[in-house]
Amino acid sequence: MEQLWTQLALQSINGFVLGMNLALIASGLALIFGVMDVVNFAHGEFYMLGAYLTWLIMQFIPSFALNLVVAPIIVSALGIVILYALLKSVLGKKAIYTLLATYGIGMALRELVLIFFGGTSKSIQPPIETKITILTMEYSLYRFFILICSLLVIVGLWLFLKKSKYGLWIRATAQDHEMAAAIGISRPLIYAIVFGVGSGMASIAGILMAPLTTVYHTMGIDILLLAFIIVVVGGMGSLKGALIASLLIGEVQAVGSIFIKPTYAFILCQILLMVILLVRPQGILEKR
Amino acid sequence: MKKRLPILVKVLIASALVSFFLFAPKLLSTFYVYFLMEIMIWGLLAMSLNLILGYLNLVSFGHAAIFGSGAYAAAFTMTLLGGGFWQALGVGIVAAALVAWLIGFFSTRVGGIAYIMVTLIFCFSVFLLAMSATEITGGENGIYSSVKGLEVIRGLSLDRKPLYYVVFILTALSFFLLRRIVNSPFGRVLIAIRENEERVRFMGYRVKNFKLFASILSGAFAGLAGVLYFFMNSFVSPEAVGLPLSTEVVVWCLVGGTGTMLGPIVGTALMLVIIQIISTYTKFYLLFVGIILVLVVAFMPEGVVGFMKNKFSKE
Repeated sequence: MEQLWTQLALQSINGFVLGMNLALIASGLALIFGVMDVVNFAHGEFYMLGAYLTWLIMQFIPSFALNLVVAPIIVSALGIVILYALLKSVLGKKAIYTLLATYGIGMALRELVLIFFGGTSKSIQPPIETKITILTMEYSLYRFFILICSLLVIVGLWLFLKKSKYGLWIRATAQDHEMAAAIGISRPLIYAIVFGVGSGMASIAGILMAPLTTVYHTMGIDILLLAFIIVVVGGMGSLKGALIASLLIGEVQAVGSIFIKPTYAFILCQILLMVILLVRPQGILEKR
Repeated sequence: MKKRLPILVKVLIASALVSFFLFAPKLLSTFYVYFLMEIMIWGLLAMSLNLILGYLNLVSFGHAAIFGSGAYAAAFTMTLLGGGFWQALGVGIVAAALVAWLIGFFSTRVGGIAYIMVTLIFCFSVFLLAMSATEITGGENGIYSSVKGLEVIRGLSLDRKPLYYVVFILTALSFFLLRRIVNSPFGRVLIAIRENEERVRFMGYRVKNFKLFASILSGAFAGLAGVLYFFMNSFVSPEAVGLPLSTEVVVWCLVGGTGTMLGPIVGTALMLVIIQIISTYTKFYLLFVGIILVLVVAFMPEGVVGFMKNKFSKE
């Protein structure tokens, strides 16, 4: 019994860490959807690329902190290049076209990574290896580091959207494309910022998670599906909803895996999604 | 004014195609006969998806889950219940329709992109179940059960050649059935929903029920394709319910042209041939599939058949 409570406590902390990490991915996805009306199927690949870049840079300069700054910038830049080189021609078309275009891009990125890095998964040494004791069980301090970093990024995004000039523009564009363009807000600029921020945040999530999970070329897909559940549960394009849903899904995954096989934990999330679709099809925050 | 092909040309093309498919097992080597069967089975799957993708604009990424359920159900019928050809066929179709109903019940509650995501998530869950419920599904190894010598009708057992004809007849039958459905009053309502959902709702149709019923119908055909897939390979593994397959089906439909009867099967044949050619040179053919996908979407969004149709009617 004692054992169970300890486990429960630990797993709910784990769930919180996982949830915050998922929030990094899901809020980028929700932001891109809210502003550009694009569901980015390649979003998971930015998560994956962040992790691979970290592994690559660590081979030459073994500094994790440096990576946390440099890799997201590279991935953001790549995201913006992809947006303008490949996605521009399908923006504003029917949802399925943008979706399949991003899916195609994701597939190509995955295959390219497979060609360059090979199929074997890579591992990254966690930068903090200290363990602390919580309720008689050892707990890695690095997970708290993930939590703090994720929180900082989320707060940063919130401040950026609420307080800065560009944030105001982004919110205006999300509210009304035409109107925002009419008063002189440059749409290409806003799209670039949103896509860059979104892909950068996904890559930060990937970098943070890389030392815990290994780095492999399909790591983006697994996480993307969870992010999709979050975006639907939170209500399409709602950032607040996405944050709440992230924490919910994180807890369900972590706590659920005490009782059942971890692979089935995803199915628990699926059941949560089904319940939400029955009660609140427009999202968790929306009243019917 | 749309120009149509003269009836004589139509009859000629149709009879040439039919006789090619009829005599194919005599003319071609085993490899190509199997390749043809593959095209027909995947084409049938694409056609079934087209019923909701092309005529309702419901982009389902859960079709592999339905297809695979049909295949798994057929396998269970044979291994666990000792059923024969017709039992496997029936159970497979019904099981697939039930899965389609389950997915449709939840996914049609939301529209547009959320629909796509929900179907995708369902597909992944079914895949996980197939992977991790190892006691029932055999996990990653799948289920193997020989279908050689399975009696179709008295005196005719499911060998290589009869299998080909079974696949051919059932696919052709499905094609005409689906065409009948699309051209029926029911099909007209589906097209009306695609064009303007609000207005159809105001006219008093229960749009949600139409969507759900079309999903179930489409699922039944997908299940048939699944059963045939199992008969062809004597084998089913989680790959048959995986997300890559789901996406591929959507791509086949899109390359061929959605909302046309011929589009899906043309798209399937085209993509399979292209992949067959590319994969003899490199094993990273998915890279090229991704690139083709982006190109088609960017430059030929109406698909090959739609593109030809437009060109033809303009002249």
